[in-house]
Amino acid sequence: MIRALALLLLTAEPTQASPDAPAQPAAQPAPFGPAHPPPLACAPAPAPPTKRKTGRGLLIAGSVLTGVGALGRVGLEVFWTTTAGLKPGEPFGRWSLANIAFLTNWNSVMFFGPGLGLLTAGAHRRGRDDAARGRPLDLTRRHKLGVGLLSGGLGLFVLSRALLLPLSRACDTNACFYGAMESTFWVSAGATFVGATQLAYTRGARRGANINLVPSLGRGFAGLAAAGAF
Amino acid sequence: MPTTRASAALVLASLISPALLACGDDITPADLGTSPQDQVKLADAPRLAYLAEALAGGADLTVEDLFFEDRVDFAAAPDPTPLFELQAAEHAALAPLSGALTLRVLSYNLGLLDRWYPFTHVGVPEIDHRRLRAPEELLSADWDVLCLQEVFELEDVDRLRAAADTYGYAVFAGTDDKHVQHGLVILVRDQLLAAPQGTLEVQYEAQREIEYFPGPWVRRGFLRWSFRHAPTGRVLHVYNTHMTSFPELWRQRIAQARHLGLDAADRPADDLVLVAGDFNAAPYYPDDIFGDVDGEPVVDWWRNATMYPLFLHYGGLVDTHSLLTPATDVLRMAQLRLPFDGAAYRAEPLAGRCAEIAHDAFTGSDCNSLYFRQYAGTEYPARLDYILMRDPSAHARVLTSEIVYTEPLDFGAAGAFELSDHYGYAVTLALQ
Repeated sequence: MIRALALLLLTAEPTQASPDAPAQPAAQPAPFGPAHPPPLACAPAPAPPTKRKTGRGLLIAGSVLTGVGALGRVGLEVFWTTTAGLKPGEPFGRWSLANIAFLTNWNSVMFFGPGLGLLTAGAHRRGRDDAARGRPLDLTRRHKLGVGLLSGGLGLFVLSRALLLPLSRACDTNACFYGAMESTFWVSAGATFVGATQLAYTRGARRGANINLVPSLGRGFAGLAAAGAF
Repeated sequence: MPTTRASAALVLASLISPALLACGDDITPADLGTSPQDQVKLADAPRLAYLAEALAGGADLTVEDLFFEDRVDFAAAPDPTPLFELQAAEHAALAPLSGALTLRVLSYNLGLLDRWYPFTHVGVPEIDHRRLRAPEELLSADWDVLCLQEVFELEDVDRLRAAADTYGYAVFAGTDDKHVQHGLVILVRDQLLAAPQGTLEVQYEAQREIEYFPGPWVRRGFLRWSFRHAPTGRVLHVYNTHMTSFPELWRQRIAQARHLGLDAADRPADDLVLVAGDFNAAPYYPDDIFGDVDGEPVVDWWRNATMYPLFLHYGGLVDTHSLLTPATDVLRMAQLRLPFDGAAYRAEPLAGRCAEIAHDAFTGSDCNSLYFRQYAGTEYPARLDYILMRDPSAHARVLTSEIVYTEPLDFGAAGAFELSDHYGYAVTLALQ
């Protein structure tokens, strides 16, 4: 990793002579010596403050998409129990598997997938920003939580979907099949989302912690220097 | 149940837009033109000549032309009266049988349909009550052969099997995987069955694919059960089918009629062929426009009337309901209030004319309370359910043919309503 030093100087603007003031005779350059240190080069004008990337927009967009997906999934469950007229105690109709797969996967691909992507990207940026601002992060706990939830969530999702066809043969009733399908979906989705965002946050924070702002003082200037991996 | 291939298709299908799947049903038979029956000129065939009279350019058209939409242009309603009379005359000319035994055959669309597909539901009312009553009601009625349609769920097949064990019937419903798609069941009284026996389950090439996916998983087809009729030794081939519905899908229906008809025509001449089922089209419609759906008029009824004569033509079949006396479809259609008036037809079944119209033709009718609840004013009342017969060696005669299960049953607290949204059709044959 290449470490670079960036110098940010916060200095006062150099004084300017008033246009109405009588002209001063040109100053003779002072002799150099201990009493008269050589002038430093003029400090560059301070850079305009850059907008911080806090991940807020990504988090909002991800939350909206995920929320729409969640509403859609709930709406599907409402449809099954109302318009479709499915009753818990009735035999499960395996003929409906194609439509179940179509509707649930479409909702996941259109909303949950992009929502997860945006939320993790936003969490990554938020972690980085929090670290750069020196906020307390508790990264070790978050990392462990993220690993546990993400692996558990994804594992449950993959396993439950892989077992869906055998489950459809084993289940006698709608309550059995739909209950198993929906409960594993919500638990695995919740764990996956929380785990992924926690991991993304810690990763972003660890990157952000490698960039430090340090005070820097010198003759004629006082400012901050940013040092880290870029 | 979905096979491995179907399981893989589930995943793939779930990610493909239904718009892609719904485009372009392939409904022209791939082998159209290869059968001699395709080449017959309408005007030259006694059973088809009335079609030629009603079609623009009909004098030059062949049977094959009827499969192409741009060649089927009716100038008037095709009137099958000559065909009805011909069949009755031919039957009357047959010599009586001696030592014949009776065979009672029922064709009945039970309407046990209750399915969902994306954001909608399709079903026949009161199914929870009817499905529990139907097995006992039907199998205690002394039918010899029952051909049932719209028995889609395996739980309903299981109920029929349980009742069949009690009343002494054998059941053929096809494979579980395909049964839930076609919903067909044939029951035959045990004591009538003798070897050799054989069964066949076929799904038509012509389908309305969206009815399968993302629709309610329906693929049309037919069952065939061949057996020796133990009392007479005669070999019988019993077909049961349920063709594509909706008037705009007339091309699917005639393709399906051709498919099954050609199979039936292949049976040995000495055997008796019975083709039962819900064919979803009548022999006659007086006006080309009747009914409306969401304010849009329903058209193309005349094209629907081609199914009937084409089915008879391809299969060498006769209509058992037009053998004792000519069928009454034209007479009953003339009793309808025409032209169509949506408000009148929705206010009362058949615009208040149910009491005047005898139950000797229509099997799908708004006079049936369950049919009215689903379809009021969207379709013609019509004879949709048939038992056709192929008997080149003249071993059978029709003794009676009637529309049955027309009266509401008492379902206790649930009220009184019919056993199905269709009426049944039954024929009693003398078989030698």
